[in-house]
Amino acid sequence: MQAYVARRVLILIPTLFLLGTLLFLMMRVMPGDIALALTAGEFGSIDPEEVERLRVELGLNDPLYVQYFRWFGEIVRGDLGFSISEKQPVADILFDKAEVTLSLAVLSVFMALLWALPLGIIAALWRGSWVDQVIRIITAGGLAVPGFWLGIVVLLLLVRIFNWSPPVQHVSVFSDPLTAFQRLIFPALVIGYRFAAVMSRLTRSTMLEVINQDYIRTARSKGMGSYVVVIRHALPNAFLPILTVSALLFGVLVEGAVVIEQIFALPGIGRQIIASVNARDFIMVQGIVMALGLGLMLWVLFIDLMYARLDPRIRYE
Amino acid sequence: MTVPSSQAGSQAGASAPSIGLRLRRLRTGTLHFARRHPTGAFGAAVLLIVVLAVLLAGFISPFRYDRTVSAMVQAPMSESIDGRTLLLGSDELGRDIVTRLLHGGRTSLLVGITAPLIGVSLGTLLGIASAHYGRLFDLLSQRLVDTLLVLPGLVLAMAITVAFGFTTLVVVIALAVNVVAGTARTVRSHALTLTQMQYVEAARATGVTNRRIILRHLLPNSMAVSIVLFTVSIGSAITAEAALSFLGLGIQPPTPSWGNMLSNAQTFFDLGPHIAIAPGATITAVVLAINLFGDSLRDVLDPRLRGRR
Repeated sequence: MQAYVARRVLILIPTLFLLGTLLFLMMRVMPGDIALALTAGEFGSIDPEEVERLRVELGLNDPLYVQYFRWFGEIVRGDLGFSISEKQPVADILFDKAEVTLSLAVLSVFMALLWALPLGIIAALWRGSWVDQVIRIITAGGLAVPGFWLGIVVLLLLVRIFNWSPPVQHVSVFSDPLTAFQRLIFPALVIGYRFAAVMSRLTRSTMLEVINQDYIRTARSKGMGSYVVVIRHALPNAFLPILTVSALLFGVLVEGAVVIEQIFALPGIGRQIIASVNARDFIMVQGIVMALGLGLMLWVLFIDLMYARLDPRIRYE
Repeated sequence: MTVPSSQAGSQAGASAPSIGLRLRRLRTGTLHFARRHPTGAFGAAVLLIVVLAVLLAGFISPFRYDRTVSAMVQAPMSESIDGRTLLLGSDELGRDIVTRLLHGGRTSLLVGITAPLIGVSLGTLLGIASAHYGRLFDLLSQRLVDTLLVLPGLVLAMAITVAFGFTTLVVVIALAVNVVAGTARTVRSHALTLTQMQYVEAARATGVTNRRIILRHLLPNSMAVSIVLFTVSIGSAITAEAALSFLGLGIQPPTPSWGNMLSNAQTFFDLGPHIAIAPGATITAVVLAINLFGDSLRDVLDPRLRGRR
């Protein structure tokens, strides 16, 4: 077990290294640089001396490999760099914005599972009936609707028909949970729709596989109520593939957050990425993507380790 | 003894079926597919109509996609300056929305089809090569795949378009990169089981070249998986292009795409909700049709995946 964890953690290093290198190269190809963007005056007037001074100060005139090793040295020491456009260390900004995005992600998953799991189970139990068909239409819709468009429509329906707009001022989940919930619930539902569609389809297919197993028939033949059979026998065994896929759907959540935060004006990491890309603040973009990458890899590792807990048959060599 | 000519003809036909026979086979095959998978056939029909409409955009619509033809934000069924009916109204610059949907569809479908085509082709080759050569090549390519899978696709695509420019080609490449990693992973695991098959072992034992093993044995047997991945990727590529262009980091105006038609939607929703609803509903309908078709195609091509919907 410990050897397994150690090996998995070791494999993170080359992946992160490769990710960093790819990112670094990509960011340097970007046209326009931050020195230019920062010094441009109100009417786009540019003072060449000022630009040059800034380029020297930011180390943009050093050879690429010098910049590369400097950046890597900082990353290894846990320093994500200093964002010039935000005039703050990248790590601080990330830490600030992570709360919104994380609470949005958690709420999305929670709301999605709340209705996706029951729908998937019902669809499996009543396979082929009209209920199954209706559920299939609902999930097919979730896979086809572009999230950002659904976000726009939902936001404007709220404003126009219900005359209700989400609270504008951002509040922390910890200081004022109710207001924060009001602000996050609709974006979370929108992001969660796609997530839920995938989850409920998966739940249906895994449940169908499990339900045809011998031990389910045995349980039924012993006269157990079908509710007990489903909850106690079928569901725990169907849970493993569901968990696997939910881990891999982390990307869906991040993509959802990038666009939905933009539409609902939530000050999260997604909105920050777009702002930084537009400001050509590549230190910031690199920092965010590296952090996201590391986060995803640790998350997948965590899910893998959870397998052993949920299914005692799995052993790590 | 002379062989009757009709018999000779049928013998020749057995080795290379005539065009008429092929057409008949295609027709019975299509009918069979439609009967067994009505939803899939429905999806295919919708797609066919959309593709035709988009290709014939210039004949269908009397307007140009970049010309103002009425006052701004006219409701559906209102009239243009020269007295024609605007079926879906006009947008914030008074341009006909139907015309823009048709021309935008060219961009969106072009990106939505070529990006997965490139991505799945490269991914398939990488996956097969990875499984066949193994060792160091497998190790290195799988680390690259790991790295690409770690990045959220949309963020990676944004970085690529910002770095290399907002042209259609760059958008296609940016979205193709997203498809490569996933395809390579799936095809590799499938090809690994193939390399264990006796016929591959036999080919290797008789000294068949790597190239031939890959082209004659591994590639054809992986095609079903790749085709399924291709159809599945089209839907997500169309949505991804829309999201990119909506954020202003994809296809740039004046070239219309279903995504950039929505970039001002939030501002003008109050004046004319139809500006936002038409492109979004189009994307939803097209992606839904692709997914319906893809699901049925998967059932036909890859029986092992049957029931996993």
